[in-house]
Amino acid sequence: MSGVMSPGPTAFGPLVRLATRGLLNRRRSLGVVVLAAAPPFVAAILAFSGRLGDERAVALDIFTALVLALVVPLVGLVLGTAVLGAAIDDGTIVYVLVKPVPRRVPVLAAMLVAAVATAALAVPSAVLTGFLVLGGTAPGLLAGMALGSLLAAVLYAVVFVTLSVFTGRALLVGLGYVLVWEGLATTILAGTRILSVREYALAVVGALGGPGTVAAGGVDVRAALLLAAAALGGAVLLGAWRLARFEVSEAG
Amino acid sequence: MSTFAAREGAPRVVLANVSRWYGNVVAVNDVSFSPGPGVTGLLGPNGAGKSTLLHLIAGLLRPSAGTVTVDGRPPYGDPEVFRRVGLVPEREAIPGFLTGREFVRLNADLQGLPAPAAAVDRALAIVELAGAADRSLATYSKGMRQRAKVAAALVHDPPILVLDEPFNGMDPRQRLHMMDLLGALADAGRTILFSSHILEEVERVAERVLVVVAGRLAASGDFREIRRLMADRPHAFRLRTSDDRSLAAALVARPTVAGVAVEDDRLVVHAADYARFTGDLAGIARDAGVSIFELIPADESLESVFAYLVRR
Repeated sequence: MSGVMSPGPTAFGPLVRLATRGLLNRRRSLGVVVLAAAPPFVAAILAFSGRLGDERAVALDIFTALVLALVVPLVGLVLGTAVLGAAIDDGTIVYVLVKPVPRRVPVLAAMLVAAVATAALAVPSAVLTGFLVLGGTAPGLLAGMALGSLLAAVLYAVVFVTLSVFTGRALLVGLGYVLVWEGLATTILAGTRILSVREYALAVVGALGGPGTVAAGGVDVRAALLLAAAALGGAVLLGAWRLARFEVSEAG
Repeated sequence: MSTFAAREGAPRVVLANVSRWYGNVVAVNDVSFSPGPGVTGLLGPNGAGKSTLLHLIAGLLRPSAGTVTVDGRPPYGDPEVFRRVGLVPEREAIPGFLTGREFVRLNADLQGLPAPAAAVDRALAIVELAGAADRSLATYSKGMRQRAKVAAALVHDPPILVLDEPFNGMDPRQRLHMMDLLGALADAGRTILFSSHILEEVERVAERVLVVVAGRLAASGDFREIRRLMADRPHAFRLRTSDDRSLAAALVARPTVAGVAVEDDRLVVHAADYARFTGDLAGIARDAGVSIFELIPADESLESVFAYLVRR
């Protein structure tokens, strides 16, 4: 019965399905849906309550303070650390590890599922928020918000999957990165911005939204895209490298 | 159980001077063995290093020293080895959101089997789970989960099967079924290695036994040999009698008795030869005119057996 087919490509589909069902089955996943619904909800209240004043400024405020600073990183954190981390935590990863499948395959499958799931929540949240405030008045800015949140969603998800392969406390470490590093360090020390997913996304928003959209002093958009690509590639390589050396340390 | 075809070319698992440590803790210490086709039982108390040994064979751990090979290839870092090996891990956790069939199918798909559906049906039938296959694993009893894990490990029909405490959580009927199953798989030429901390389980199933204590191989070979080693060790008995002193005086002269003491108003006898001592005791007491009210083996726990094997 032992076939001689190569399971490399055929294993990817089943692993994607497994990761997806694992995510859909978790109660936390429901929480992130509620979280993603919060910014459009706030925007709707503001839009229907009457005068917004400067619509661009309001839209950007909600986008940066709620969508980019909280929703995208937290959704990416919860989904990214759960998709593979939960199986590592409870030991069910063993069933994947004892198969003739290179270890990079389950890592890539988990990253794809986490990135798509995070983007599927983050991008509509960003676009809906922007549209409720701006209407059709600023298509460039809206496109910037969509692409900026897409970039951030993919990057957060992938980085946090990698983090979950390295440590069982990925949720805590990731929360520290989002709140302390991106939330605090980058506002005090401008130099740290080149290592901030949020800054890369803001650079994209600034480039598409036109001059004066985001405050000066941020990362240049070309540099941001290069850094984002490097972070993405680095996270994929590191995650695959770590799982390949992963040992089931169960004494007994 | 005639569904298993006999296999050509015996699978080879070889451990040579294998050690594995975690930081300062030595889990496995200079172990060498090569289980051939048939059932080999890994017997030892909890924490003895049985799981570590099985994980080393299954490629989930890298040896700190020595070599592990499966059909000539080191399993750690070589996913191709898993075409030849099926592992039933000890941990009970399985993806509860899948049905039994989906779980076994996942394993078939990851093995890249050419006809996965048929392989899944066959594996489920072997472990008698066909009826419950479409229920979610979360609703399974402990024994059913264990069988689902075995089906997952068998789905690609591996010549080498490694099972970590496979009888845990099973009721007596399921236990018997699993024992028959392992026997049938072994008869078809497979190499089966399983761990247990329960003497009787190993005795019932395994043709060969490896006793692991504190990370070392304390004894290995035929079960009867190990049974004899265990039976021949000095045994202690606590007795309550009508006249401890008279019986002590009668016993101490006997070659089957290594020592006599009175502790806590009880006569404690250390027998040098278990079989002859227990056979002779009644006659000695009768000749001495002493009645025995109580006779309790003082050190019959498995731990004391293992401890003896280690000291030996």
